[in-house]
Amino acid sequence: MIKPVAMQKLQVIGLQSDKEAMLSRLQGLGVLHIEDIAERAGEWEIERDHIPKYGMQATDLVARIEWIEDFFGYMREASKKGVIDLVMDWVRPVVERPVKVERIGTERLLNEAEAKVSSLERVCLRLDKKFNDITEKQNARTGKRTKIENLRVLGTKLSHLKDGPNTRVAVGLMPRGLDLGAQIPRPNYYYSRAYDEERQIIVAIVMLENGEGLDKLLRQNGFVPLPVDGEKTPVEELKAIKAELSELAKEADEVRQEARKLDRVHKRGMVVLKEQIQIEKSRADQYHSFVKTGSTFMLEGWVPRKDVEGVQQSLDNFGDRTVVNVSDPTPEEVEDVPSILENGWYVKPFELLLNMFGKPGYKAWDPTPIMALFYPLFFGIMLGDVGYGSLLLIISLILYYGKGKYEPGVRQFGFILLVSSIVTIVSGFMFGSFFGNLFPWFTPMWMDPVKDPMPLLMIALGLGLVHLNIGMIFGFMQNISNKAYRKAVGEQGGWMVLEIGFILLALKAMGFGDGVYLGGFFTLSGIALLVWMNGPQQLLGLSGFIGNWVSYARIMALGLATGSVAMAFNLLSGMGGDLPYVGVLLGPILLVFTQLLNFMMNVLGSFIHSLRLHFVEFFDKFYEGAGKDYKPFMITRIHTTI
Amino acid sequence: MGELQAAGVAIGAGLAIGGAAFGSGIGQGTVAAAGVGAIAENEKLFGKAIVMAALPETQAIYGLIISILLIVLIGAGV
Repeated sequence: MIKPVAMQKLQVIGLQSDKEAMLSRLQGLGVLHIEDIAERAGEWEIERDHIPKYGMQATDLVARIEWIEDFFGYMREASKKGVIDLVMDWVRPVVERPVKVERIGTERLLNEAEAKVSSLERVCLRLDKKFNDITEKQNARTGKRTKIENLRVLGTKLSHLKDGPNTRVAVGLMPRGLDLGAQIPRPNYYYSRAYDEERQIIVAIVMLENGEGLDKLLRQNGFVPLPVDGEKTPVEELKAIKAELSELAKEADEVRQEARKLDRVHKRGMVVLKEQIQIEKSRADQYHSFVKTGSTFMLEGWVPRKDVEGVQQSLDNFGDRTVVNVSDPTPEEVEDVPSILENGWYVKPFELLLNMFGKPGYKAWDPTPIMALFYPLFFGIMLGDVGYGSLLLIISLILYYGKGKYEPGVRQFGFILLVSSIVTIVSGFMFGSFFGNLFPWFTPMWMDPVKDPMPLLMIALGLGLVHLNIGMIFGFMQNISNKAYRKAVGEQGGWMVLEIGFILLALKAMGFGDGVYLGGFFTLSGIALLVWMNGPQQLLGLSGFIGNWVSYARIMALGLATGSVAMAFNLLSGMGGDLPYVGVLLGPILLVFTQLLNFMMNVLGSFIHSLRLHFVEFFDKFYEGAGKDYKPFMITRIHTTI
Repeated sequence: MGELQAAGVAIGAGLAIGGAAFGSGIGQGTVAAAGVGAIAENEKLFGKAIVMAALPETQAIYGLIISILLIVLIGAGV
């Protein structure tokens, strides 16, 4: 529970002809975390291994299936899910049962997959092209429509507005107030009309040879040409375009329907096929981490010590043709060993929080059990309200029993919130907060921090001191157990001695005992130890220590803030409710809305700050979180079963 | 407890939280802006971005503590 699982290094050398069979067995066992040793091929003067052909075939198939899935997703786009569906997805998710599949050989699987995917792909490509064609036509029509809309006011046939064999026509916008009619080269036709508040639309026709002169004149006067597209009058053209667009929309819909029909029929099959192919692909991908010679190959990896025998037995089937070397990690290799945490049912969900920071290194101890105790405690005091706690309880239950049934991450999160919400409710009872001061008859069982926050501050700082000391003792014991004596003294021991000194001196200052000499001795030796181990800059660390401790005061601050803001909102809603006529409706609405807002803000705040106290102040005392994730080579079956 | 003292406490408490919240607000704004940029590139970072944005809240909380201490310890008589 405290130490990560013991691991051993496995080195397997075998014949190329046995490689696939051996890998299949290893994949079935699912305990080997394969190291990438291919990059060291150079120093051993042998070659890297390459991904086999079936691996590339599998990768290709997966990519094509994903294209098909994307295509179906794109075609589905028009029908959006409602809010109700979204909520129900979390409360009662609809999950398909896994499909039973046969155990068939790699080659047969890939060939059959190739056939199925190819035929579906052909149809989808055809539909895709058709849809793109339709979209292109739609875009062309809408573009034309915009241009024609601009010219609507003119009313003449659009063909008249284009350049003729002997004429140059300019159609466009100019600032109002200008009248260029006189300045345009004769012979001409000039028409202008108001377009909007600032501009007029003009039509100017001149003989071809005067075209340049016209352009120059117009340019000098802020002319903006409007493109002309079409032959008939604007109104007629627009009607025609409208008809065309509705026709195209119908066609697009038909394509969508066809695609959706295919989607319904084939979707499950594609998902199942993809999973089967990915199992093969993941095996082929491992080749990338091996090294080889002409007829042999070698792989290296990590296996939990308790599983080593099982792996050796499985590989015994290959008899003399393979060599399996088992060894314990050397000091240089320690940082490469993946960390597996082993925790009980109550502590395990809190690993979710630890993973946000980083797993412990192989030799380091696992602080999750401590987190499992203190996180809900801090959260509970920070949120500290019966009403909010109950809301959170309901939410956490939904998460845990709803979507959490199928997604372990959500379930872990739900559990953490569940425990935290219970502590919140208890804290609410202790400090008398039920949606703030909404119910005047609700009195605290212990004390009211709003009237006198000092006791709560003492509690917060006291908890902080306990938390920090647990951290230091934990770290100290971990270092001693790993025989890192220098670290034990320099990182934890010195501080602990210093602390004892401070406490003795403080006791003396408050009038207990004659601890001056003892206290002074401890204090100075503590400082001396720290400086000796860590260098003189450690003296600055003293203020850091005080800072870390005071940081725990935020427990009190956040706890108080929740209640105070709730009180303010209650006051506000009360005032809203007192308004004549509207008050009856406004009051309750304000109340619900503001309380929900406060709920969300404070849940977020409590979550983050409890976490931050652990990650920054607590871990600072002993934890590095430099561990590697355990990613075993295994078969992942979600949608299929054997 | 004189009126001047009460006024002093009131102003002091107000300034404490006001100044602290001001700084915290600027910090959170900067982080949130960067967070939005990160999310635009990678949707998965949403959770981390929210957590980061709430971290500068610390400094505002220290201000709150000072205000509360002022009101409670010195302004108690009012």
